[in-house]
Parts: sequence; structure tokens; C-alpha cells
Amino acid sequence: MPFMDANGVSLHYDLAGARGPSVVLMHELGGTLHSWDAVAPRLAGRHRVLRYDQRGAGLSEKVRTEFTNDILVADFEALATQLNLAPPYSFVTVAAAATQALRFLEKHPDQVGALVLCNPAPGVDPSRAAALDERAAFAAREGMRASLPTTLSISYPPSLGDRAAYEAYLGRYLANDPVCFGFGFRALARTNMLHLLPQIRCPAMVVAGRHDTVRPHAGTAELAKKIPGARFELIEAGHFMPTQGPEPLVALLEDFLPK
Amino acid sequence: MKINTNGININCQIDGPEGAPWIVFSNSLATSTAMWDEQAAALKGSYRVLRYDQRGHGGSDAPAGRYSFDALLADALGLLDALHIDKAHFAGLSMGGATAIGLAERHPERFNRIIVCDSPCQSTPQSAQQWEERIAVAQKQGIESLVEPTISRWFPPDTYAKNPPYLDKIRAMFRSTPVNGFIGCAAALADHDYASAITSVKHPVLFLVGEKDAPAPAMRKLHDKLNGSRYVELPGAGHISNMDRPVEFNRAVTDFLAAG
Repeated sequence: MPFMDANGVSLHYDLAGARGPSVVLMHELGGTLHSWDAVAPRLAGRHRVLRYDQRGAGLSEKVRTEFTNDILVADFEALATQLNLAPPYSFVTVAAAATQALRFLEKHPDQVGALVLCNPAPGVDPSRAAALDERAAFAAREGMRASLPTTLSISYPPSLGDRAAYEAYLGRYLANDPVCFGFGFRALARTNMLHLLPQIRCPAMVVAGRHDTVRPHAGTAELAKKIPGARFELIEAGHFMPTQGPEPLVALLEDFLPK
Repeated sequence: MKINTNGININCQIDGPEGAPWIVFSNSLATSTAMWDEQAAALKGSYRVLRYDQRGHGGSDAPAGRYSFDALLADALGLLDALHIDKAHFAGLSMGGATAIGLAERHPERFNRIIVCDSPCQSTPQSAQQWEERIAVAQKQGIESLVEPTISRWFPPDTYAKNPPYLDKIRAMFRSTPVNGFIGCAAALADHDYASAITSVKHPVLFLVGEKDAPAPAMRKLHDKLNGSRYVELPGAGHISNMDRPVEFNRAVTDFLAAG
């Protein structure tokens, strides 16, 4: 998969599909564009599908300068522009990546086709920033394996979904640069897009995983009520649904995304 | 021992000699009097230690509906009245910490020294939304689905990874918390503010917080605003700082109480 220099960093991406509305798949904290391996090809028949490794993740550049949610959004803007990927964009986000789609929507309300927020974490109560900073510092100091008990061991029970998919996910997870992984937590700790939810006017779907142990689905259902007219769906998956429950997610996306 | 006051039965426990100065301990969400075992053991030689289960917790009644901090304050006052306690030191953690500072603001005449642990003493729009989500989870999925997400948030990553035995003690308290009690108190936590009027407090106040607990920066600001208050951070401790660092916690408490 190709690389592109955008917004001052090298981003590893995959753009599939020859025609159709633009769909952007944004992976979770700790994930990579491969989190979407079982989803992206299924959408590429009818959409132009962009997925990429976020700054500091996967094979994208490992930075040593802390980044913010706004910088991550600027990464996407630069990448989409350089790839001539035309708006409107329909974003499909997992967990914390919701903050990027929501920020983009806030900046460019006329450039968003639809939002699909999977187990969204739209932001963090400022009083919790210190706790997330602690996780970031712990990862940077002790490494990814030592972080597993407080991260992946909670969010991804090996029994959930396909075992091979879990093994591959775990391998990619451990390959994270722990410093950049920590930067992701720190960026999340300083972001809150909650205020935007009642203002969303584009089609929106919130998808919860029945087996999500990080954000239990009833809480996500409660959050979805904040978005006017949002569709809510509960599927057989956990926190990382593109990996843990790709089939039901793809079915929902095929139904919901602009044709 | 159960005391009927403010329309419910409140479970409480008293340790220490009659006639010694009273200190009251008020628990955090989804815990009980048992969270204070180490403090009661350390203080009962010199103090009359009263621990009680907040409404909806431990052995206290758990009426249905959303509680308010007004009700939590009234419970504590009712308990003091029923036990004929004119004046007491009052300590609480998280929800109990907000209870402590609320009592100092609203009923100053009944208290001597106030110890606020691991509480920012106010909700925010963001925290209110999170509480509403947790209320929905408790209602629809039950307490169990909240246990690990919460425990992993309360303790620093290295503590959680090591999983010392007291984490299981907290898990057990959490699991035995009635859904009504969790929901009722979570609703109170979603809507409270004792930070805005902090400067009205004339009592000596100790702000005691785990170094790695989320409210630490907010509590330091409260300390900066409140003349004469004391601020102690417990190195390496998280949200349940009294169980993470009992020795250091007890030392901070006894030093503060002795200063009077």
C-alpha cells in the first residue's frame, strides 16, 4: 500500500474503488488501516474507500512531537486533497476516531455526506485527562505489552469473533510505537466534541457492539439520543467491531451509506 | 447497626472509645463502609469512628429514583442527629468527598475539620453525560457490565495490571451495590456543584488525592482558592487513594486532625 507526504508527515494509506461516493474509514486508537481489512473491500464496489494509518500508527510516520485532534483532522484534509478524493465524505469511525469526524463536520458542515460512529468516544471529561495521561506515560515507559492488561485485555477478549483475526490484531497492536500510542491518548484527553452532537444535521448512524466491554452498549444508545434523528444499531461485536464483527457491520454500511 | 432517618434505614458502624472526638467516613459510589477498614483500624484508638453506607449502598436502603446531593447531605445530618453527635470531623472519598464539602458549606456549625478525598466537588456537562450513559448501562445491562470498565479507570495502569487483593474487595463491593443505589447516586453525581462556593468554607479543609487520580488538578485549584486549606497528593495512588496507599493516607489524615 502506498505512502504520501501530507501535512508534514508520511501517511500510509489505501484508496480502493473506482467510483461512487467517498467513504473514509478511521481506525481506533491502537489500530491501523488493517483494522478494516474485512470491511473495506466489501465497500469498494460502490464507493471510493479511503483508509489510512493515523499519524504515529501502523506504517505511518512515528513522530516525536505531540499532536492534537485538530492536527489529525488536518492530516486527513491534506491526504484527501492530495488524493483528489472529492467531498462529501462519509466517515465511518471506531471509538476515539469519532472526534476527528465530528471536528471535520464542525469545520466543513457541507462536506460530510453521512456519519457512522461505531462505539463512539466523542470526547473526554476534562477532569479525566490526568488518568489518560497516566496511561500514555505508562505505555511510553513500559511498552505495549505491559499496557495490555489495561487496554487490549479489556477491549478485545480473544473469544470474540475470529481467532485468527484476534491474533493478527494483537500482533499489530504490540507493534505500535508506544510513544505515539501515548500521544493518541493524550490527544483524546484534550478533546471533547460532545457539544456538536445535538447540532448534527447529516444522516448519522451510531453502532454499538453487544459485547463491548469498554463502552457498554446501553451507554452508547444513550449517547445516540443526543444526535437528532440518528439511527441506532446494536450488532454482535465488541469494541473493535470492524475486526470483531465485520459481517453485521458491512451489512449496515451497505444499507446506510450514500449510494 | 441501622438508623432510621430521613425516611430510610442507614447502615453504620462505630469503632473507638466513647467520649473521643467523632470522625465520620462517607463512602464513594459502588463501595461501602468496608472501604474504610484500614482507616477505622488506624484511628479507633484516638477517635470515635463512625462509618456509614451512603443511601443505596452496602446495608442502607436503596429507594428507586434519582437521588440528589441534598438527600445525601440530609442523610448524614440525620445520622448525626440520631446518634446525638453535635459536632464531628467529616471525611469522604469521591461521592463522599463531595458530601463532606457540601456539609461544610450548608451546615458549617456541625463540623470541625473536613477531609475531601478524590473529588472535583462538581459535575461538568461532560461528566453529566457520562453519568447518564452509566445510568442507562446499569438499568439495561446491570451492574456487572460496569465493574471492569470502572475498576480499570479507578486504578493506575500498573496497579490494575498487578491486581492486588484489595481490587477484588472493591469488585465485591461494586457487585453488591443495588442497581437502584448506583443509579440514584450516579444521578446525584451528574448534578452537583460545591466548587463554586468553596471560598465560603471556613473550616480547616484537607484535600487528599491520589497523584494519579483524575481530579487531582481540579482539587489543587480548589486548594489554591481556599485560604488555609491543605493539599496532599499520595504518590502512585489512583482514585480509591485510601486503599491504594493506606499508610500514607492515614498519616495525612492523622497529621491533619492533630493540627487542630
